[in-house]
Amino acid sequence: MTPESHKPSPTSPPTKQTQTAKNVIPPIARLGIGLWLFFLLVALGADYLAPHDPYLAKARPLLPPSGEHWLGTNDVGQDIFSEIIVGARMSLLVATVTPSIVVTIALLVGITAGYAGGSIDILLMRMVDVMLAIPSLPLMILIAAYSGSGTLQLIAILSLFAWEIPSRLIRNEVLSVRNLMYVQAAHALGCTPLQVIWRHIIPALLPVLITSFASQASRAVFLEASLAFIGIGDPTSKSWGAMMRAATGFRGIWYGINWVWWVLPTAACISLLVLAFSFIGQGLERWANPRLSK
Amino acid sequence: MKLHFAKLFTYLFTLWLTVTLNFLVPRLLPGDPILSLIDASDGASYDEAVRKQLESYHGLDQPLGVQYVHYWQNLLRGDLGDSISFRKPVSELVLARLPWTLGLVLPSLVISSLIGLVAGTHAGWRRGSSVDRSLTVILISLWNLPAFFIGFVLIMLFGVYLQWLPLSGAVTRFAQFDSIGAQVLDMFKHWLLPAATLIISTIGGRFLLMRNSMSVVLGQEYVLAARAKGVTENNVKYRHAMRNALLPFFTAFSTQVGLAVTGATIIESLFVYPGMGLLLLEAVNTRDYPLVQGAFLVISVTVLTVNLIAEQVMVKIDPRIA
Repeated sequence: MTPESHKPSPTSPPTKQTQTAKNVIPPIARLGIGLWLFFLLVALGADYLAPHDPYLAKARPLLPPSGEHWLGTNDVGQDIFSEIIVGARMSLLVATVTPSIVVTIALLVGITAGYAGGSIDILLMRMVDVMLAIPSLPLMILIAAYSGSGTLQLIAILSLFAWEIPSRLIRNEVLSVRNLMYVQAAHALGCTPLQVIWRHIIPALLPVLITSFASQASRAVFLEASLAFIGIGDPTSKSWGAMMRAATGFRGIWYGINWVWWVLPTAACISLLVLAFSFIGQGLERWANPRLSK
Repeated sequence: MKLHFAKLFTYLFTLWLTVTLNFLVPRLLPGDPILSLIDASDGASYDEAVRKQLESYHGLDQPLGVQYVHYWQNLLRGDLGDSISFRKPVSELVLARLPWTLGLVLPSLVISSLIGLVAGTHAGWRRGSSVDRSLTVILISLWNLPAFFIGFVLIMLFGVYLQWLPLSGAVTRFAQFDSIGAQVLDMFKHWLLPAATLIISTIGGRFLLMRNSMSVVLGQEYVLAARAKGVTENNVKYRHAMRNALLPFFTAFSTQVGLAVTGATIIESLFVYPGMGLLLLEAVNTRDYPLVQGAFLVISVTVLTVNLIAEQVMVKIDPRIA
């Protein structure tokens, strides 16, 4: 299966049920993947791409864009363009690590609940209900206030309030797969539960896993930016949310034109990356789960 | 009114867990609680004797179980301790801020639900039409913008360029008003932009939910039956389809309260709006730990209680939820 080789011709009617259409990654998902790869490359190559050291405040503050400083400088004289490039790292770090942790926990909880059933299922799903009922942001702030502000703590906090919904989705999917013929047959043929889970149930979960990963990445970027904006997070490392905090916290931002090259590009990066993951999630959901494309 | 007990039980358990977390988090996480009790701003230093004295004063030298009992006793007496930075009882500070957040969140939630409801009904009714597609694109795009950016743009537009509305705060400071009406108008002007930000940033979710719910309902047989017996289109749309599509929309309302409070915290921070969220953030920034805990507790209990009320009302509306 080489999805990239089948480009849907723009003239063809929207075929949804045909064999070819199923294997083509929808354009919206490709756009998302493209945006994501772009930001990923920027984050990985930040040291080479950034024209200045974003931590060094050596230029004059609040300079307008110029050949030397493409997006001008901020209120302490740091190069904004370099800040954005280096800030991409934080967003992509949380967008990679958080969903990995979340999906792993969700797999464990979801499969345990769905496969074991009975009182274990009830207990785990009640736990999910309770976790979802607790207002998460205040508790995040409380934990952050006491655990200190590091990137590690931030990722732990982001993951702690994210595994609940994917767990329930995976559990529901396991429930619907568990009683299918081929799974029953595998049991009858003498497969151990672990074999059944590994060979038959996890492959069936792939669509949920992909979409959960993408939506969790989107959520992690959004939340990290929001937390950094309200001052929760590692204050020593550059991030887009922290840049927004600095920009809107600078009183002069309201009375000048600086926001055009300071706030707008930063906000655009956050939104584009959030959007990229939503696109990937929505597009791949239909691609991976043909039942949905009705 | 008959209460639904399973939900009530989950509520009580969640409430207990939240209150207990509020007790445990400061004690279990690394960091010295005594150090945090000393006002860092005046650079106070202390020796071992002062430390022992402080520990026994705050009861921190006692076993965890005894501390937990004391914690509950104080809580039930309404005593949340004293704020370090404001030098006032935490309960007094928190109660002064609560109305601002509720006044921001609840009306915004209702307005955003109503707009999402109307837009979602129309979009779901004619799914794939140009109206549906443009509404979906616009509202989902807005939904993906961080609330602090939406707020920023609104301040720039209405506060800075048009100068119609104030930039921040909840009242004009040190202003004398001729009448109650003028004072209310002043509060309303300060309320408009934060509320609009909250509405815009929550509307997308409400819209999508209603739209999807509508399209599910439209595939049902009773809609086909209504059409077959000659019910007019408008009646099918509003009395048969929308009414039933409302149920998932209402059910999700209680989860919206928590989300709206989250949004409100960020918006209060941007607009310097004197609500609970801002109080919590101020407390964190000044390392005023008693206030952090008190603010967290009151926010959580408020959200949980609003959720409980919403859920009990939903059970009345649709007994199937129970």
